Amino acid sequence: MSHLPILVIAIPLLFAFLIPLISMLFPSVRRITVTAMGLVYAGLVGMMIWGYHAMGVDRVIYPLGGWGPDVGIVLELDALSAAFAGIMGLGILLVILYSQDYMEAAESKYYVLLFIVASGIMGIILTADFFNLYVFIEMSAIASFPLVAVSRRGTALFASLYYMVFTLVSSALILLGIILVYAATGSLNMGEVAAVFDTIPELTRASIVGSFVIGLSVKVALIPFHSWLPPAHAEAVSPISALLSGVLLKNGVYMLMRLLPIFGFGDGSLDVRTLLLVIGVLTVIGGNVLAMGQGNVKRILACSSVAHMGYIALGIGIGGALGFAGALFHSLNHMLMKAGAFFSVGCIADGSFELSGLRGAALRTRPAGITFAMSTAGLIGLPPFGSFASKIMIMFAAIDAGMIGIAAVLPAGAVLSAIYYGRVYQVLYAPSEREPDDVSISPWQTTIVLVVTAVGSIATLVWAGNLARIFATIADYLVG
Amino acid sequence: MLQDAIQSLGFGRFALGIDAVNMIFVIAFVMVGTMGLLYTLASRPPIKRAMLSLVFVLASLGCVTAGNMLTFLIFWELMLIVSYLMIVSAGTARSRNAGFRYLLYHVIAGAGMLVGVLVQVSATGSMAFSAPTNAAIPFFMLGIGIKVGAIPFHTWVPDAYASASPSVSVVLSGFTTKVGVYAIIRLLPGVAAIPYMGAAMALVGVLLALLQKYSRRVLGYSIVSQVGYMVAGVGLATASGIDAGSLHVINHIAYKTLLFMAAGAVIYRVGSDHLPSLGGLIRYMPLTFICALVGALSISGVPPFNGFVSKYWLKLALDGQPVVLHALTIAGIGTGASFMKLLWYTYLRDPENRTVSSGPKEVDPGMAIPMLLLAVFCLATGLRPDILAGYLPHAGPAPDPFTLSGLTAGAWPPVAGVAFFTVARQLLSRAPEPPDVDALYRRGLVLMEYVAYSLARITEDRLQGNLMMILVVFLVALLVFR
Repeated sequence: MSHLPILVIAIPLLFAFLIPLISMLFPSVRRITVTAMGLVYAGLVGMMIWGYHAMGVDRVIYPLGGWGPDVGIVLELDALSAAFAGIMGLGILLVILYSQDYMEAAESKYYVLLFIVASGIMGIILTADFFNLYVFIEMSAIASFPLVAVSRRGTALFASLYYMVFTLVSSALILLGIILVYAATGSLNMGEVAAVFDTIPELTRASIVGSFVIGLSVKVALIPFHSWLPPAHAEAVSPISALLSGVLLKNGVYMLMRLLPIFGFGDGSLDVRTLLLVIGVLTVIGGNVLAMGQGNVKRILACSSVAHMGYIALGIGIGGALGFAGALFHSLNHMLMKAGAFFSVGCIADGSFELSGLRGAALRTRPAGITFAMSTAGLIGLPPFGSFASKIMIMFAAIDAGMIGIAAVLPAGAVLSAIYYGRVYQVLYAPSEREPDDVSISPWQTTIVLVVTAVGSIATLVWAGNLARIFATIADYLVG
Repeated sequence: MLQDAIQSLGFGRFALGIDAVNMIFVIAFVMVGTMGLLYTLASRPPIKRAMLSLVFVLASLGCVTAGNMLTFLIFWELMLIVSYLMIVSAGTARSRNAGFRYLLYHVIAGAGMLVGVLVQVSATGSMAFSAPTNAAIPFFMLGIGIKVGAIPFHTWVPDAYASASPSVSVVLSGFTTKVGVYAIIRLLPGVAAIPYMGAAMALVGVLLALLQKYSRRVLGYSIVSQVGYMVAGVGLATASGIDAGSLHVINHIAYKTLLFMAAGAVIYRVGSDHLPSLGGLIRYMPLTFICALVGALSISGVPPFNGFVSKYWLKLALDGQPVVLHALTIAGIGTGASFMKLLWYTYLRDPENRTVSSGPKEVDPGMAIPMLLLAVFCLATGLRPDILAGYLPHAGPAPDPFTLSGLTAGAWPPVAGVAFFTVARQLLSRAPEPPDVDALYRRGLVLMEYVAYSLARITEDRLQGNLMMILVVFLVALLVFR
């Protein structure tokens, strides 16, 4: 264990600054170096999680520079951090591996930014301090703006700008919340704030919770704060779409799960649960309806991300540990499926993602044609894909809490998503006039990434029993 | 407590098993599945399509042998995925559209089942099959209703089975609706509305079948009608009702698969199943005609074929339900008429069409053998109903159908049907194919997509408006949610 918590933040930052140097001095080894760096990063994250598991304690506190939480800044690793570190670390690794072939001609700064994002994400997950949380949020967000615009098309630049405006508003709201927390408690350490949060005057408490929840809702793209997401996720190059949808959205999910228990769900001041349920229903239905209205595959996938964030918001809003566990499980599944779908669609189409020009495209690409079908079937929520299990958990939590209406919203979303994915299949898998044996096969590294996402999304159903128990333990510890 | 909830969801505990209830389904699926696969292979389909057919049979078997509701749901949805792939594998635009509609119907069915099952688990604390709670019944009715093709959700049946390629529709047509019938036995015992649902299916199905112009659409609508018989039987939830319904399941799978095989053979040889352009095939394909005749006699319930036995038992079981009983009798007349129509147009009447007069060949032996075996099965189990009776769920006292009253009760509706067809033939040939409710659903879907498109355009790229939303919700949250 030892220094791993700081290493998973510092090492990718170091990598980020080494990459330009290496590609300047030894351009021929850039590819292998970046791959190795990605593996080292994922390996460190894995060792950290394993070390945490082996220690068998609730939480590991890592004081930076040996200063305790009363004066210094600390990192804290608990079960929730470990779970999200695993999800995000795997996501980042897949994005890096996929980028090697897809972004072969990319300039070094592409990887520089990617590793800064990787570092910032781990920072968000591990920090136990509100101010550093803000720093890491900004770090990962600011590095992701240029990544959206990396293709340098006009639409991508516009999408990046739009994304930036919304993200900055969200950051501003979060910062407002942090300022209020500091003003009211005189502390920025999460543990200390949690201990005294109930003593804050009611109106201040409501404002704190409100600014955090709304700020994070913008980050997670819940309706009606979603409008930045479809352009950003659709106009970015495919690995970055996967990064944004699969990994960066989970940042917001993590923070909701981390902060809401600290704020006691705003009990007695702001009814966060009901707010999340209302927004969640709106998001599930609205996200899927918006996806139905799109004619561009990546926009469809982007809008479906909005809807899936709605599932997660519902899981959190139901309030019990089971819903929380379901939301956690769904974060893992959504990362695998949505990243897989974006990776696959990147191989299926080059350049334009308008459905009208993609007739039969999936039949001409292997294995992306198959993995796309698998990922999207998982996104509809059909077995044998893991989202079937996480959906069941969230629905069951709702039914157990007496909210059959909320439970029925999830399958209703699945029906809507079957409509637009069905339309996509109609086009992508229609035999076309072009030569049938004109099949392109992805390079081996891309193939591995595609297969890992597709098989992974099945594996989460196969191991649903164990995963559900693990996530339930985490949720129990947070809100039980 | 939380771990108990997870435990009750039964993740990772897959259970399969055969018991008295699903025994007859397993026998039917294995036997007819094997015949169907033989037929499919004889048509030399692409290897992918043959594999899909095999997986489909296995998934259906998994569904009826599932030992708990989670396993059942997983196989239920797997069947949907596989059958969707089978339908679209024909590669035509028509099959893709039918597959799309099939997907929607069955995703809705799956959604209903999922909510129903979870409501049930929440009430009982386990995934084991149990009598439904009142809250779960409407969801099960939706899910199972779509699966069995209850009115007004029946349109996927003719749509899908007439659009798939003939080699797969043989396998496809046998299982999906029967799994729905099985689900009624397991999940909806003793719901009073179900026999009436069955009666409506039997009547509406046969009425629409009579007016169709393509043989596989006739067969599709008649599936709706025949499944109505089974639904009426098993929906009674009495021992005799379940036994008779289950017997009708295996009989129906056998003769309906036989009829689909014969229709498929005609499509292979002639290239079409459009009834007005067929005729006179008895001269060129006598073997196929004999098989189709056996199928038609069985489905119409003519003694001594197997449909006669199960229909007779059904009518005895439905003794206390006069409405349902009369509906089934009228449906029997319609069945006789519609299959007389099928045989007349395809085989018996003088050919008017050049394709036919060029002399199509008899069907390949590879296809003929499974057809003949099924025909023998239909006759054998009709003559000796006790062969199957022992495998029925309750295996109770089986009344002998071969009495004078039984024989007349079985024979008069088909005879009346044939008479009706002979009299009304000219009229029927001029009647247009009736529109079905799915025209309405398609409009609804288009409208929905139009609304979605408009909404997406309205909300896109409006920076100020969308930013303002953040402020509005912030204020609303502070003012309202406190």
